[in-house]
Amino acid sequence: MNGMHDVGGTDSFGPIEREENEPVFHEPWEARMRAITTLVIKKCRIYNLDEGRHASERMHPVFYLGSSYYQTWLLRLEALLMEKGVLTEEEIADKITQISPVQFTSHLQPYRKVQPMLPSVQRRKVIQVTRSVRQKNEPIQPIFSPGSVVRVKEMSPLGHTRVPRYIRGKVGVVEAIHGNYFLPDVRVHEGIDVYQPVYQVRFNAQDIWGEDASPNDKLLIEMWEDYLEWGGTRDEKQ
Amino acid sequence: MKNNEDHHHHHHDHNHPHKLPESFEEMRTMAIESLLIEKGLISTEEVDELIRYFVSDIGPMNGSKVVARAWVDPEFKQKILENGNLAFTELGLKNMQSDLVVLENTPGIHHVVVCTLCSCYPWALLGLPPTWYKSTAYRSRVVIDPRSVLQEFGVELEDSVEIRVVDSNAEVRYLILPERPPGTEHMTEEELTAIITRDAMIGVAKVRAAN
Repeated sequence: MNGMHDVGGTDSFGPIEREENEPVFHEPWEARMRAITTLVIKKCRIYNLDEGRHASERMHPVFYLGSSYYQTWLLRLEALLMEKGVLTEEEIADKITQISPVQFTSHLQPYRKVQPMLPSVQRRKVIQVTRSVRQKNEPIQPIFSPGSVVRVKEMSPLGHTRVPRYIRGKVGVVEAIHGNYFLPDVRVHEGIDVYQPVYQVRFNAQDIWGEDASPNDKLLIEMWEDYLEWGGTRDEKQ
Repeated sequence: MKNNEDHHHHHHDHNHPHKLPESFEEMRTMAIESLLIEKGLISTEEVDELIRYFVSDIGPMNGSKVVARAWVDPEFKQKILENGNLAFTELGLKNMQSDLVVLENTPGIHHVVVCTLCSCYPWALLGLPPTWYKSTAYRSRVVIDPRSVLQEFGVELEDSVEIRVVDSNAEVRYLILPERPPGTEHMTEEELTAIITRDAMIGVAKVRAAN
């Protein structure tokens, strides 16, 4: 989806703030919440990593951009536990009255929500899958090979995807084939794993950002096969 | 952190609520943990154990071992450049994560890693990512203006150097193999691990020979 999480190339976020000797966690609750999230995903299998990512993407942009990393993780955990029917807000509220005499509020309470996707008459939720296999090890002949000139499809699916906006429509060259991986788009929205070849694709920085970029610089990114189409009339290697 | 773990351990032995939450987030986290325990989905011990794993078991020291070995053993280096997962098996490390790809920085090509969409990071080798790596400031800027970002981190590159920004958007994780600095020829593998930094393995720093 065209979300606020997709920040590549966005200006005005300010300088990169670094902390010397940063601790792994700044607050004890961050550590516990991260561990709980890991258990919910890996042990209980209540939701998967990709559904987790998509829940972050569906957050209100004001909350996503105005919160710390683990504040967004907490909202994501709550939202998915509720969406999956494990917990209700009432249960959490009841528990809070038991454990805390003070009722704290979020710094961004009105925006602390995970939005459902809006229905659309013309936008797809998921990209169209043309070729896939159902097992990771099942052979599937990659369409492209190192040296192939490819274009990232123009697309604006409403659902989860791993194609950032800055790379859509751009032409690059396949650098390597990484093997078969499940397509996250389909995993999130259809609940099944379909596997496709994933390519590492190399782009000239100037083809993405224009002449202000250094003529020597490159960008490497991974693309599932259905994110790509042929981008030139011939292979670079020919 | 250590104190907090002990703290939690101590308390849960008694199996009753003991600590009052001090923030909105702590309050919600405590409520969720308590509810999930009541529902039989997780246990306090499992949470404590994972925290120990995040805090003590993983960290840049694992990545440093891979890089130091690659610097002293050309055959190992060749192997991991061809198949990054061998870095784990050959050093007896456990890969809890996705496939690993190792990219080598050279005098002519400098790689730097980012995840513009979320926070993908090779934590199995480097530990959990620092806050700056997850920040919108880094994720937004390093793809469009890597030279100024690297400068901010103290890396000055000639215009002739090719910067390769790697947007880690899929299930492959990247480890950067930094250049071995001059003046380290006499150092042992173990001594080398001590000078290899997390930032160099992300690609936002170069390794310097210790003074």
